[in-house]
Amino acid sequence: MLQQIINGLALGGVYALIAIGWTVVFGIVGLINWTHGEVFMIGAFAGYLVITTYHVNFFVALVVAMFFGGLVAYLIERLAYRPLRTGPKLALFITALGASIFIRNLAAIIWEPQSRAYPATFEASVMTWQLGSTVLTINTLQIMIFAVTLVIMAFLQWFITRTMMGKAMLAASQDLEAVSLMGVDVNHLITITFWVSGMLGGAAGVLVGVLYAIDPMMGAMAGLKGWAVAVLGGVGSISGAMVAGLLLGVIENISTTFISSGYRDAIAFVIMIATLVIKPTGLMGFKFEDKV
Amino acid sequence: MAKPALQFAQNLAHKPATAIILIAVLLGFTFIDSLDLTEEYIFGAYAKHILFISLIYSVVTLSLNFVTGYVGQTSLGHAAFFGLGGYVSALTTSLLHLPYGVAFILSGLVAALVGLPLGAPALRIKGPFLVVVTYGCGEVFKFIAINLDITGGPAGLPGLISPTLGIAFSDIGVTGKEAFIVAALILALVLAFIMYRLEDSRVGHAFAAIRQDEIAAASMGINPAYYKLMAFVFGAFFAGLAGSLFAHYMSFISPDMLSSNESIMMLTMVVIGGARSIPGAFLGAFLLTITPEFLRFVKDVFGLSYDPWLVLFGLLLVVMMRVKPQGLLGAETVFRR
Amino acid sequence: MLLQVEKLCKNFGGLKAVQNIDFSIDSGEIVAIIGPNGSGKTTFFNVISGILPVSSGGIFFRGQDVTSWKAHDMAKVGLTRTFQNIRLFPELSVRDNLIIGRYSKNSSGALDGIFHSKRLRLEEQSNEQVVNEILEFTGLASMRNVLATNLPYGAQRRLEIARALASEPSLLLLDEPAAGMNPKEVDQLLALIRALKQRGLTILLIEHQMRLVMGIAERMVVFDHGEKIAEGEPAVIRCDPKVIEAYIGTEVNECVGN
Repeated sequence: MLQQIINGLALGGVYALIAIGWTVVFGIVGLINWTHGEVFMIGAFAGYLVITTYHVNFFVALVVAMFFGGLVAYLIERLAYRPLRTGPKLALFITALGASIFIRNLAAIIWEPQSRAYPATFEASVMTWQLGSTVLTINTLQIMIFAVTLVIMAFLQWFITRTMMGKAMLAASQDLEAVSLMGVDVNHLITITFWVSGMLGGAAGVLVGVLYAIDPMMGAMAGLKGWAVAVLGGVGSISGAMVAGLLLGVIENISTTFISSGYRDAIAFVIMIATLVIKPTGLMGFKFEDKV
Repeated sequence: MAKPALQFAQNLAHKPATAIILIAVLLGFTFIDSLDLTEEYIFGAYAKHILFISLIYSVVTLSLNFVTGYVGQTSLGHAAFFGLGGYVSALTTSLLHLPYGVAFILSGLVAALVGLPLGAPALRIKGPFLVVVTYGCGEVFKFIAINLDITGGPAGLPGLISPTLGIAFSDIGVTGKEAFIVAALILALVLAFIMYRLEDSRVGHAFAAIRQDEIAAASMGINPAYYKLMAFVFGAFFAGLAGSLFAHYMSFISPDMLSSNESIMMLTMVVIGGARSIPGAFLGAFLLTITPEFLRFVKDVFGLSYDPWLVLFGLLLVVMMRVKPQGLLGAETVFRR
Repeated sequence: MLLQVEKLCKNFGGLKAVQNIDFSIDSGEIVAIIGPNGSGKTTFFNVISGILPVSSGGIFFRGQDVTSWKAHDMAKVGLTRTFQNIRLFPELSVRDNLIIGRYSKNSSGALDGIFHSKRLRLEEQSNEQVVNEILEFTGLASMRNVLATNLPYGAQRRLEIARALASEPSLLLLDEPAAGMNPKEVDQLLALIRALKQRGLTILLIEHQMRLVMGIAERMVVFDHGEKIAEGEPAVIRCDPKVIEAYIGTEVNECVGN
């Protein structure tokens, strides 16, 4: 049990990163950014490509992936979403779907559809602990991933609460119109939001890449799990996404021992649906209400 | 230049005569080979196969229009009902050995029955949240189909019966499938007629009101919950029927039928054809069924190492929403009488 | 009593938007609720029309307990309303908006629609008649086929009233019907309300500016901070010190001068 929790934390941290990328965009633009999974995939591939061609170390790859994740997210916003921002919501959503299908399949053409694994970037050792009668094994890779996740989140928290732009983003997630009336350039704000979202997605891509194999279709499931986590945490809430991400990682790992592993990927959706039906505000979200 | 042409096409698409001519062409297309006019078959099994698939997706697109078109709820889980209908019908014939007619009706009823609780979240959950809930429901269905023994797991169920219903003429390819083309055509026409009539009835007015302003609709006495459920149940019922036809035509069913990619394709058929437009639903379904087949042909001719369809499809959606977000044949809502 | 409200409260979290309101209106009356912005008038409307659930207290319509009824139930028994920030069906024509207003007076269902039954045809005939009559009455006949979203502002407000009339209400709630109108449009509106009064309709209306309703309301209820602070004939209300305090010097100069 404890072992499952430990295994779940590393993955959960990555879920949280993806979820925060979802949630900041939804909070500010009100759009389900269906392409976020693709940004995540681009990040994973960017990391993979710099590691395999330039033999850089993991941290350089992480930074490169974050840059490309941010860039792609920005380009998607600039080219696909911005012209439609005031249009009907369904059109915006279909655009997101289309962009996602486009990027995913273009990647499959350019990089070939098969899956591949990151080359080992550093020595991962396995530590074991004896706790009473149970033996716990921890991979140093898991610890490192978890640590990187925490650092990124701490940085994000600093950005949101301490910088002017971060504060404006937080305020915009409550009321974009009011923020724009106070003289904040909305286009600039949304650009920054997509950069932040994309960088988080790109980072998550590399972190998943070092743990598992990567392929051009990897964004579909990961992106949706990120959305499920965002919903569980309460859409628009960054701290909620952090908690919910860790929670989902752990629950998934525990469930494989108790329920059939075939349902592992379905758990995220069941949790998400249950959250929306029972408590639509999620763990820490605020309420989106129709004004009468 | 393009604008008058499009206008002309739109006007043409809404004329009853157009529909009658198209139906005659389709039937001729289906049965011309049975006349034994030539030594060679004019339309091979492949063309008929594409025709059938297009008609089935027309039914599905029309049925999704209840939810997405009429009450304005974006659903990304419609394939769940399509697949459910297929599985129900498959199990009814193979496990219970009941005749196909019973299985057909049952598939619609079960899908509708399941649509009821699945429609319930739609009463509380709005917009973007509903999209992911319907998507999630579809995914959960797929996981269940993959993991249960009774549904044949990931491999699905092969060897379903394909009754000929006495209409079987061509003897090329898989024989006796003309019955399914006719059945799909009839189903599509019946559904189109029902929708045409409903649109301008009290029920259709209630749909329009809810779609445009739910609170105003409620204060006019319209119960939004009732009509949203009705839309979900109607949509699920017809998607289930289509699923049954599809599974028995293929004589095979697998969890792919309930996949989210199917649901996405169905939604885009509605949007590209034009939400709430009956000719638009047919256009969307035929266009998005025939184009990938055509591109597969292009791929073979040019010896491409990849299938260009999905990339182009993604691009098409983005461009389409920019240029004509209401779809090819989408129009304003106007009550006829 | 047509509508009776007892000790009605509505809270949003810790905010007491409406507190302990006792109120009643009889058939044929025209009553105005006035009060400064944020005094709970619209919330009061939203609660009695069933759009928001009651926190505590009771609502009775013709003696029947309707406290827990939803908006669509209220419309069916004859309570119809308009909205402060106009809620029309924007993509429908003026005529089609009124047809939807007829909804609660009809009963045909999906099967009637599919088979185009006799019931549906009869309903359509009578709807057409009523709609035409209301279009004439409200002066919208010439804009019959215009989409609601394309109407000028004043006509949109009138259409909202016309749509409510199409349901043949026994109690009509008007939420700031004159908001944003120019003086000419206000005059037209007042004439319309007077004509409705002549037809014997019961009307409860909210107005922010006291002066506007002086001429038409038989009775006034004053809200402030979610509470009812005064009730009575317009002439009396105008000089009530509590009301003057609530409105501090904006509209009550005549009284102070006396």
